[in-house]
Amino acid sequence: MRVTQMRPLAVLALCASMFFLLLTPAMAQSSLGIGSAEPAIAPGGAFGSFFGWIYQQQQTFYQALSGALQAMRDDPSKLWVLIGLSFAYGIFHAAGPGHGKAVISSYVIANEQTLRRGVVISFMAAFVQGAVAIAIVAVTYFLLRGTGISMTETTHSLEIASYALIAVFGAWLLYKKLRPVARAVKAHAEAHPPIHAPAHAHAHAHAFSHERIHDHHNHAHGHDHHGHSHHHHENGVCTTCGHSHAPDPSQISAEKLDMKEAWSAVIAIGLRPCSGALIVLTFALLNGLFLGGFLSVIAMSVGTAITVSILATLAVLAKNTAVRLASTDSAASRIGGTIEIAGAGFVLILGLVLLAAALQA
Amino acid sequence: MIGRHTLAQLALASGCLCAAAAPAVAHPHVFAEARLEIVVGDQGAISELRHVWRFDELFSATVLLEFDSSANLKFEQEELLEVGNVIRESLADFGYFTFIARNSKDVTVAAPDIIHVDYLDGQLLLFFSVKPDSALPLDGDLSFGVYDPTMYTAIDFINDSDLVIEGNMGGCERTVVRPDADEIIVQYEESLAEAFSEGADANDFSKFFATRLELKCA
Repeated sequence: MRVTQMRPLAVLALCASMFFLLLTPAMAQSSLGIGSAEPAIAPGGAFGSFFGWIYQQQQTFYQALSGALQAMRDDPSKLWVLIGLSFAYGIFHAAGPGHGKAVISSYVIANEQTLRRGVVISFMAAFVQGAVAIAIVAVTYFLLRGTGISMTETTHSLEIASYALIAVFGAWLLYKKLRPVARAVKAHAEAHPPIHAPAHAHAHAHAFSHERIHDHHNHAHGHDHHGHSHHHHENGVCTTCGHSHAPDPSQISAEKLDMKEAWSAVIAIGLRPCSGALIVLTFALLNGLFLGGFLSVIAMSVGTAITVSILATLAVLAKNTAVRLASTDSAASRIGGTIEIAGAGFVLILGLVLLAAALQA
Repeated sequence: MIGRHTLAQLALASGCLCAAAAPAVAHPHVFAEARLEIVVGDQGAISELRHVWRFDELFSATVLLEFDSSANLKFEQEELLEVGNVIRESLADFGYFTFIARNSKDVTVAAPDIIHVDYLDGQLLLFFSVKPDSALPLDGDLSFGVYDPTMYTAIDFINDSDLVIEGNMGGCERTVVRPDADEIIVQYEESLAEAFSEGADANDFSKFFATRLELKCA
């Protein structure tokens, strides 16, 4: 019992500790006190040189981008150069901190999301982010100028709101993941008095991964995806099972719930605008380059969405690989369940850490 | 069977590592061209460091919009003063981007009385001077770097002649060191084990890229 139960927990603990090791105090407010920087995590170990390269690329792109904006002021035909560079900037910039990569990746991992859904969510989040940037600059320019409320402050408030929402969202995901586990464990404790220690022990390990285990009571692991049935369940143990064979009303409403959940994630992430977009938009606005600024931000959003989609896809593939490599069905579901809970936990931790840093600033 | 199990956990662990490392490195949003004057006083010691930073037009536009309390899209004197105050307060937490080492020991600088700000041709200009907290006589090895440890601002000395010694530098030999990115990466990989065990922090990282002036004094 100890071993089977400890392993996923050990991996979880390992992940959490790695996460904190890599995290240095995040800097939400910028060093100049004007504008906002993305909170950053120090590059360590083998990743250091890779990030050094990314750092250089981003710097080059940003300078090219500002050059294109200034060139456009004199020659409107440079618009295409600007759009192309903005797109490339979006792709590279999103590889840096912020932009909800970690949140989206963890969310799709935690939720047995399809790859398609992960990509859709990445795109929605990127566009909401772009729209928020446009809204902030427009509001600052038309309404807030001269009121003493600065763009830095507006951005900072949205940032805090975004991180708080991410934390709440993570807590909810974790609750959703852990509730069935808790119920299954409780149900088992009632069904099997402690005297049946060996059987009980085995059940615990299974209960940890509620999503795929459909029969905790016998040790027939050979059930395949077509042969099992759901009637073994105690009430409510398997409300989120992904393997039902006939569409039923509860599934349709679950679909709706999923969409609501996806939107919550998109809004939570999108509320915090990307600082690069803010700077480009402000410059464009002050120089009367309205269309240029708008199209540049759209192109940046598309680029960002592509990078985030790729990372989310990699996360899902990594999870599927881990599950596939497992030796037995029970190991697979245990690993799958652990990854899902870890994913939900990550969203919560990320939200809390970012929020703490933003409030400190 | 144990092998596959371990493999699966390895895959999981590496997945975690990637997720954790993904939102990593900071990168500049603001660019400034800089000039540094290191002033040698009468006593043959360094008395102050004078900074001039010219910011890029994009950031300068943001600052104009942020501090335009009169809502006329022009900088008034009070608005420029306010910009200087905000930046001065904020830079205090980051050593005024001034990093001095004497024989490999860090020397901090005192807060400047004021940061002067001007706005010319759509670009923000900053002028200020800082004094070292402890005496800096011209002996041994001295190193001067100007960079943003958070990497929010990229400070660039375009020509070697933008790092200047004012006054009599005696028997010191002056070199401008511009770290080569590829070399840094090689160096970084060599010291990887060491950096990992000591826990490299973000500040170490930006230092690698920064241009610095070195004085070797007899």
